[in-house]
Amino acid sequence: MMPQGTKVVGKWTNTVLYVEQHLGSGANGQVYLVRSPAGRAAMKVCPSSSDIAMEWGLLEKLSARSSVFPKPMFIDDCAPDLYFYVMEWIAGEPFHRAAKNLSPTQFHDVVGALLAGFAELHATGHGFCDIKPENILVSATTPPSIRFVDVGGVTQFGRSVRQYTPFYDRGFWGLGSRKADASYDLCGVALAVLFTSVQPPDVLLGKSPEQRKEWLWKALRKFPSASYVPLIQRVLRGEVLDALQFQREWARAGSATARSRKNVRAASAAHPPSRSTSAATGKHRAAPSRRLHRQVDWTEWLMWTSLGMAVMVTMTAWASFLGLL
Amino acid sequence: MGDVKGTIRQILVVTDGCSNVGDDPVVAASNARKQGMVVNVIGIVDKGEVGQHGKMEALSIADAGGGMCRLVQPVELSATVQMMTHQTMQLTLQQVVNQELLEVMGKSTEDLPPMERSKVMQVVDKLEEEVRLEVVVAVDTSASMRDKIPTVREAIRDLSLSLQARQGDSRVAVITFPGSGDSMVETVQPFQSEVDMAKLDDILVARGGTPTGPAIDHARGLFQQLRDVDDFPTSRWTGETQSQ
Repeated sequence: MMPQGTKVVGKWTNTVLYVEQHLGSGANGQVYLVRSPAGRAAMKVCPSSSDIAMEWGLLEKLSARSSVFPKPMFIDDCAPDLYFYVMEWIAGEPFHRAAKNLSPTQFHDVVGALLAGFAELHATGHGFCDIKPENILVSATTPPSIRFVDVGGVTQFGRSVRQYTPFYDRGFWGLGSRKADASYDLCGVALAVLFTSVQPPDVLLGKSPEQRKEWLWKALRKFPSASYVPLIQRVLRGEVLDALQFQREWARAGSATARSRKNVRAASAAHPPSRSTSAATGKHRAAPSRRLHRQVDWTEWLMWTSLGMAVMVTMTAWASFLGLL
Repeated sequence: MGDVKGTIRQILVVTDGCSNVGDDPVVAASNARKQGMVVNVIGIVDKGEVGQHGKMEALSIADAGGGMCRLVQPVELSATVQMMTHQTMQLTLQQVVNQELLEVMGKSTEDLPPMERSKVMQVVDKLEEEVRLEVVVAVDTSASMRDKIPTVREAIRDLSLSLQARQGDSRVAVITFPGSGDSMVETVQPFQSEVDMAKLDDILVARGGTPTGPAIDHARGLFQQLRDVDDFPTSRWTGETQSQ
């Protein structure tokens, strides 16, 4: 770990950098906040020159067509064995920590923005693959801004995923292959969304994919915003194939939640998206009766008001009648 | 890699203790390395310790076999298997590319400016995806491994899943040491493109010692058998001369 104030001079570019702060640890190295002649930036340092070279190549390739990842500044090394590149510094809070402080509406918008980010990345023909909340930075502005960090897992579609986090990996849950494609990422997003409410226990690591899946479906049934459950389940099953479709259906599921939140203070009776699946039907079966109640609401209110009015009018009539006597 | 077709051959030893039967595993590993194989060792530490002796041996085997050595908790096993396979593949390919660079340009990758290095690494990355990979997983089945076998089984399944996703050809074989009955080593599954989970379910903990050396020798033999047959392509000869 490099202490604050460390001076780093690039061997090839002669650029001088000062380390300000340690920002975090990636899969294969450390990230620091540094002061560069061009301004504050983030520096990724690896003990291996090949990891740095590989990540730099990816950042450069992606930055030409998308801005979800940090903009690359320069790559260099510093004798004897410090290999690094410098990139745009992205401020923000990791997804899992941000999710805790968001209102349901904000959370809905953040996930929507997240899916837009994935759509942008997928348009370049690459998957993020190493999806974990720490790698997704959220600024809860309106509209919320989402950026990805740690390019190490990014894989060209069609190739095998080599860097991943088991709990966010489609293969780990027995939900599909470990080949990079759009639905691999979407599965990871669905898992990340689900794990904002429950954390998978470590014992699952020693269990078979069938047992893991069982745990997963159980956790999904307990997800607090029930209107999203059928959609999440379809994504996990690989039935939603691109980020834009996920985004559209997410928006629809969210407006259903908002509607039901307005009517009663329970999200459980929300409008089910077109293809609801077996696990969710239990919850939806309860919905119609409750919805009936809610539709009665305003008529009920009208009835009581008119009744009250009638009583008042009668009482006044009686009073004036008696007063006359 | 050595041979024309470019195949990466790895032996992965999963053990929780010291060898005590048969030839010296360090000698076996160094023999394997001479034939272009890489030997990786994972020591599973469960609650207790592998012991100083076991640790030293694991390190020396990996060292002699040109591979890596890690001591891990059972929960980390799967991730470690993946990481090791990936990193040793990358290393092998880098060595090959480095050698070529030295011959052609008189420079190694480290001597190149970082921008150029990044281009070389993209080539290595592509090769890693496309090269043929053969892995023998050698599982210690001595008595102390009893509780860890289910975890090992899941790790092998997981490795198989990753290998299946590759664009290049991948083959996995699984052997256990000691084998059932009197044999020191048993082939649970010969080289196949997928792991046969039904066969892995049959892995039982055997009585007897830990013949790590003979297991590495056995793995080396499996590669040899495969190479003898596989050097002849299965595709039909079309009358053209191959360029590579």
